[in-house]
Amino acid sequence: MKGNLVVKRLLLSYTLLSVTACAQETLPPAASILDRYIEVTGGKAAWLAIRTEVRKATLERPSAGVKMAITAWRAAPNRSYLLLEAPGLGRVEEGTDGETVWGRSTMQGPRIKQGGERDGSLLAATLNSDLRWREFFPEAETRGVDDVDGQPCYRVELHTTGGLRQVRFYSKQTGLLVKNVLITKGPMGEITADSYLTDYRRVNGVLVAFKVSTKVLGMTTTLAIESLEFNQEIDPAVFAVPDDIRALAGKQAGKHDGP
Amino acid sequence: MLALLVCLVALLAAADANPPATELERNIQSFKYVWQTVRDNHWDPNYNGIDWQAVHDELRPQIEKADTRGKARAVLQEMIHRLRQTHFGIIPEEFSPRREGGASILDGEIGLDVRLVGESVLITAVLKGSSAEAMGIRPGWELLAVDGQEAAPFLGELRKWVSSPLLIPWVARGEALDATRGKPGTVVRLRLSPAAGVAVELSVTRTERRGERTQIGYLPPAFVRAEFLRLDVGVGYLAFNLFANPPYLMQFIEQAIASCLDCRGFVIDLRGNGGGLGAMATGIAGWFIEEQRSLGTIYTRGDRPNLVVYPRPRTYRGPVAVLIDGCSVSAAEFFALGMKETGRARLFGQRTAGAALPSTMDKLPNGDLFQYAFAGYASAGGKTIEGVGVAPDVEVQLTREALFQGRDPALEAALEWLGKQK
Repeated sequence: MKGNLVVKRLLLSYTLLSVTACAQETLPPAASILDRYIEVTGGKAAWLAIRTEVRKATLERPSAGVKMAITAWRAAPNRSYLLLEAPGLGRVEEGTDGETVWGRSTMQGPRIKQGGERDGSLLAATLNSDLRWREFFPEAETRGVDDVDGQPCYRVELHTTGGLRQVRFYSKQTGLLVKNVLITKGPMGEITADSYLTDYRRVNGVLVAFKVSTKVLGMTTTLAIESLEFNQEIDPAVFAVPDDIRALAGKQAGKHDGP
Repeated sequence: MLALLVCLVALLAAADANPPATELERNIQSFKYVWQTVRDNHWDPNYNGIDWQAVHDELRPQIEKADTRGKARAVLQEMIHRLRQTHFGIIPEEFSPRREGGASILDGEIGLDVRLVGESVLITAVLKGSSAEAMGIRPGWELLAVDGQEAAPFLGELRKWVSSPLLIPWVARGEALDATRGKPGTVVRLRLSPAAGVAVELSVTRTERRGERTQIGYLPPAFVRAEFLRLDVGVGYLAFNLFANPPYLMQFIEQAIASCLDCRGFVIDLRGNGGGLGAMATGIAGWFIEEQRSLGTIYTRGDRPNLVVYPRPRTYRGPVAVLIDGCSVSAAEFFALGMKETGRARLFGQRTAGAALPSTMDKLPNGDLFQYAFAGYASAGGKTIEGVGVAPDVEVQLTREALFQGRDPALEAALEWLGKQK
């Protein structure tokens, strides 16, 4: 009798779940969408084989006639260095050795990132973070189906333990990521960036979006990858924390040695 | 929003790759671009109290008859003028060379600066070695006419179309200086008054404009000039005319501050500073502020990012005076207000222009440039600057007498205050 009761309860639960799911058009769980993305872009083995990455790209705002050059280096597990050079504006650098997360620009000087901003940068620096999404996003849920540029897409919401939030849109048909809404938190407050990913190309067995148009504060910029190389040897000095960042860290720790 | 993006891309593609066949069609495309950009990007969904659709419907018939660039500019200026806000404008294509390194019609100058004092446009500075100096022009002289254009009636007209009285000094100075500019080697005719009741006419040859020339995208070229002096009284004096050309200016300022960390005071002269890149204002503040602070917030329809000051590894810790006047604009204004609100500086001079909105510039299908504000601004203390300006802590008026005497009353007041600080 007791066994029958358990079976009945399980059946009832299953029935209720099924009814709910049917009413919501049987949305697939986020895990299956995120794992499918890995599969359609090359598979786990291909992604795991990547240990370093060097991207050269342009960042452009055509309506303003502005074009900047970007080079970004990443190495497993989470070291990165990005250099943006803009004629007439100077340089912007972002980097981490996996511990210290920093930024430096001609206009604003050096700074050390902390809190949610640091978490976000470390996530961006992590090679194969999509493969390891379960580590970074303990909360992941499929919220619905939206149209993005004429494509029906699953809308997946992701949350980190540190409070970062992303909303990703994966094509129902291809499984590719076509839109990403990134909500960043930092000293500037909360800022939303809407990115549209297109022009997927295969490099070393994995598919990568070569064109990303991003709208922030009403302005749209387009990043176009010009070259992408995996598993090239990168001089470790590329990821070294610069002296002025170390000086700043010392100052912030109360070890200021200036006048 | 995506529809707008697609629309912009379509317009740009049309402008670049397959331009409309006629001037009229390009002007109509430009009208659409300007109207839609404001519709989709203005931070106030009520468009500063204007029925933006009604503006479109009223002016659309006019642009459909605008078969020249000049007629189109008039219609587009009228459209954005209805917003009655700064940082909206149509800039003629000839102000911005098509190619990097190309000459602009603003590349030549005669080497003077002016201010509106009362109802007179007075010469306030003459650059050493300039054409103006060679012709004997001196501070305190009144500028009566440029190439036959009389200043007095022009100022009368200016007061009719400038949206805020606070803007008059800045616009008058800009118009007067632009009138004296032109291609290097060309001549401008000036009528000047060295003293009451006396007038002289001079023909002055324009030479290459001074300063570090920089040009970003389609923006007109900017000429950044910076000056640093360690005054006899042990005070650092830093002046610069724009927040632009960061590779040059930020290094200049860093070196100036490094050489003056032991100075008993520091003066930052932002009189006549025409603003520029907001990020430079926070970057410069980082040399004077010890802790991470905000110089205010810009607000779009969606986000409200803070203008964060990141303290530099080495900062100047002594007292700071900032000089401002009616020609201190935009980034210069929120820098001054931010330095005041953080308790880091005392302001001397005159109320600023009240023109502080973050803006950008796009190329229109007809080739002209469209500057538009995309966000509002409020200081960390919750104050707005647009239409209000920044008031000095110590108001100091500029007089013709002081100019004749070679005195600088605002700087004198600042030095007096710095002399009393410990």
